[in-house]
Amino acid sequence: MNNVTQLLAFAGFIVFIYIWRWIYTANLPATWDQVDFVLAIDRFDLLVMQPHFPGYPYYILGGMIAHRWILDPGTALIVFNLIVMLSSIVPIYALSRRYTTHGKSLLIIAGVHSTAYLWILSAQPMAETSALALLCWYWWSLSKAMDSTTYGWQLFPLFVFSLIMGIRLSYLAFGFGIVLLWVYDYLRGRVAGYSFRRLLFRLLGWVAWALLFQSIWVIGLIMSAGNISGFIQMAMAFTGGHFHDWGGTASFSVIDLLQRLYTLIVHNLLWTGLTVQSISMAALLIVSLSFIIYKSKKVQWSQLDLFARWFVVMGVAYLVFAWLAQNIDKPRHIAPLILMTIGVLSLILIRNTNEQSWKRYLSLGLIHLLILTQASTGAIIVKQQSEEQPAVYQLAERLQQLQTESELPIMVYTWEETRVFEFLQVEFNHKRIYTFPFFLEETKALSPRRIFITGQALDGFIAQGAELEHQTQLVEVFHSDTRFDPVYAEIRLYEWLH
Amino acid sequence: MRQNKLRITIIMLFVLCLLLPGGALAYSYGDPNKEDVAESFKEIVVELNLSPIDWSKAEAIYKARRAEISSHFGEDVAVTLDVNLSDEDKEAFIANYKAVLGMNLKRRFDYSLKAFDDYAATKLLVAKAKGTYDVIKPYLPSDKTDELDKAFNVAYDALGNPGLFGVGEKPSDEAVFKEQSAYILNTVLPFLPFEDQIEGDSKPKQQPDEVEHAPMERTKKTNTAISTFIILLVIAIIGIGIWIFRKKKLL
Repeated sequence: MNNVTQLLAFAGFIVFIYIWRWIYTANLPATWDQVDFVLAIDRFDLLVMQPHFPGYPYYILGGMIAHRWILDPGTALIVFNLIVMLSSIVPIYALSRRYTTHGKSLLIIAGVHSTAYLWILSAQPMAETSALALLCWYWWSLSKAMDSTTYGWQLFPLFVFSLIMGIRLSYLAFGFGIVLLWVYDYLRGRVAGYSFRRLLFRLLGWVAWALLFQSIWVIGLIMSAGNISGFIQMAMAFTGGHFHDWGGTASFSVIDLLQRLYTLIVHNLLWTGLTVQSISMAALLIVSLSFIIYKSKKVQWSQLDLFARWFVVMGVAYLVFAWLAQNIDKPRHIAPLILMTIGVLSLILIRNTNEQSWKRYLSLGLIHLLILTQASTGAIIVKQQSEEQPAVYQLAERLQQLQTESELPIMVYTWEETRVFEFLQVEFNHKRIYTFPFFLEETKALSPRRIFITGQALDGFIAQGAELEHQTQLVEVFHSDTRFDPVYAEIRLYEWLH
Repeated sequence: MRQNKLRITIIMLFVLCLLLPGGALAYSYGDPNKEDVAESFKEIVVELNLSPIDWSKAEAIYKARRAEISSHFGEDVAVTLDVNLSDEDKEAFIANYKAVLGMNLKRRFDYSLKAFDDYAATKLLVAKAKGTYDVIKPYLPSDKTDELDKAFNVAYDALGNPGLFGVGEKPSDEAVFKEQSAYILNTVLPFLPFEDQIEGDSKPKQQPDEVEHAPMERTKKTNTAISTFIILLVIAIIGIGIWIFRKKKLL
């Protein structure tokens, strides 16, 4: 296969997967966060959670600009995702070329872009995909800064990192790469004979630049809040959450931590992220992994080049952060590691396979199989996602039905489902409820209206120790695919008996 | 040698990063839309509907709000509530506290009209008004609450929006805001009458005309004196650091 054919095949593949994702978008928001983003397009207002704090300003800005041409706000956000993800071809190519040939780099790009789980995320109005694409730019910018000593190249990662922070603040752990860069730059400066003072000022200059770049989006947020004091008040109010509404404590033992780690790596990263819960995909990955282990000699830390080490360190830093500080129920939080793993896996699989011909054919065969399987699974899943009615929407329909059937207006108590109801502007009354005593009080005030409550809210009460024997009656259970919404894929609806 | 230094620095910074997220485990966002005096009402009602009633608990919750109630709505109001409590008159206390929430609603709207040009301040005031209303809502008839919900939305929209980097900017409309806030108050307040307990005093409760404090009660989280001290301390530390480096001929 010569270069032109490779390029054409690659281009055709990319065009196909992006057009497919453009057509099969899941543009109707089905979760709290998605509603926040979609509503923010028409009105950016942090106070009413459009979107929630810290605001994801660059993402919403991108969506607003896309909205000029695309009528539906959800689709506008998704299209922005796709455009930014498309651009990530450049940095992935450049990074791959550091380690392998042109043709194999194209395969690596295809490998990364075909990842089924990333298809799911990119077709949702969520900030993940744009942030992931920018991470690719960021990693490449770090490698350029490492290779060069010119001032401009050192600023590049600082700028890209500020873009990432303006899209998804929880990727802060990747800022560790900049710290590594600064330490490295200092050390190479010393080796080159520069004085401590000169290097210190150079470093301080970069810190200033980094802060300057970050301040751009912060200023955007402040402007949208009206003035600085208003913004600070709001920020303090939002970050002062913690355990107030729950009246409980967050105690964690070592066992809980280990359980979290297991869930994170085995369930979120491996089973959901890499294999989208498909056994055939898992089998394929295991075969590929076995092949890699077979053909590789012992891999030592010192064999990895400097950028590869930084890459691993950043990955571990983010893993630790996700392990300790993020909601373990949502696999999308581990998306950067999914991306990194697929990228590295693809690279190791096809790199340096020039020795024996059977190994070469097997490795190329495996990667093509991987790409095709991920892409076809991705295509099917994304189509399913765009056509399937989320459990929350099914719930809304049923409740509308119950509302029309009842003489008095009904009242529905939920957790996060209420946000989607707000978006749908449903006719029935609904609200979020956490604390059981407050709920009881309201039911007394509301009687004889019919009261409904969702499973999540009810479970919350039980966790608080409420006694609910004979107080509830199951009305219906609604299902949708857990890969699209892990927490609310199953919704139980109960009626509260007075 | 250089490898080791790099490794050590990395490990140290790494450990620092591990310490950072430690406390964030069960994180849930706070809510600037919650009004403290209204939230306390919810807690008190829960206490008063238990049997037997633990009046001291209810009193403790109320005491936390008493200073606020007294300064915003007048000492008479607070005294009336005190009397209701000491008489252990559950109905009267709850009814009067609801009335206080109504007064709070009026207070928030009055101040937001006064400060209408200050977008950030008005937004927060209306959010607090909404937070108060949400607590009263279950006690109002449902046909009224649908209309009131709409009125709140229209009022909030009438505040305008500076947009994101200027994109999506919307102008404010004071006339509409006045209209909606008047509608809300006129609809809600009649449901929340205040029963005076002070003898011979039958004039309606009015807001104190001269207000000494700012429209938004800001719980001062930072003390100016302490902030200044810390800033001076940091400058001193940096200064000492530079002096030490100078001495060691590094700079």
